[in-house]
Amino acid sequence: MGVRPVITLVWLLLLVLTLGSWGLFELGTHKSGMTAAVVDAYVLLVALFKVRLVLLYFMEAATAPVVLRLALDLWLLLVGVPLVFQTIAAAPTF
Amino acid sequence: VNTVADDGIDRPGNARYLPAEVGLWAFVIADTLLFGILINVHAFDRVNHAAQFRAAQAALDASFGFANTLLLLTSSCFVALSLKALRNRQRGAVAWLASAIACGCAFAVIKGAEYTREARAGFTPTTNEFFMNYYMLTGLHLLHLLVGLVVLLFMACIARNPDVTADQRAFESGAVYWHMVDLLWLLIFPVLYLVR
Repeated sequence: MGVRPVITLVWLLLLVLTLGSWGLFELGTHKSGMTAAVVDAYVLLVALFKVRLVLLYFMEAATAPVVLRLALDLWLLLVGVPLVFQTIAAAPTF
Repeated sequence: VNTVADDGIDRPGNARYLPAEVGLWAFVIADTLLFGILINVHAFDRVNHAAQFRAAQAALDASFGFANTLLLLTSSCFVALSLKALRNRQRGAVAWLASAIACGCAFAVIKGAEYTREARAGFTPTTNEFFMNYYMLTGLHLLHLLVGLVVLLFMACIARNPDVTADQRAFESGAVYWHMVDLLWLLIFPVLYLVR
């Protein structure tokens, strides 16, 4: 597959994921039937996945030396893990 | 043996290619780590002031942030397509960049309208912890975006030059910087607007 289709497909996937999180936010916890902690965890994990897509395919880490990918994945873990756990801890129980 | 793959990058054999300069990547990792710490400090404050943060967050209109997310994602796509056109010596690099600049300007205008709306409603950085974090995170991000717009203009000057080979690394560095502005917003948006 050429580079331009990959870039466009990644952009489409990013838009779909963004719309999904937005839809869940608009739906609210009552209509979605999920607790706030589950919705928060989903929204943040999707955001971290989107960040990884940008790193790999827009910033071209996918074809960069492995050491850069490892450094970026380490960064993502350092930022993402405490963020998800702290947000779940603060989520209301409804 | 040097080969030119279909991505237009001249690389020896199957060697992996590092776009942009090493120093730029060091800056990106350090800067995003700083933002990561600030975002986690906000999440920590949220644990201690959960009710206050929920009430303050309800005063925000998330549709501003949602529209800005779509704009930045699209601008990043345009910048990636511009780099691809530049590498393949195809036309369109400047046009893609101009589209990215338009998206970036629209982001700044929307952010300005949102700040005005919040200031009129009486929400300032001194209102409470939530709004202090909100203005700090979005303000620092907006500053990065405004610098990024200048970088995009600089890249357009490079793309207009018929002999761009010498400046390709500088162009790549600008592209990586702009994608960093995009990915920072991808974290800031859900943390400030979406999580409950």
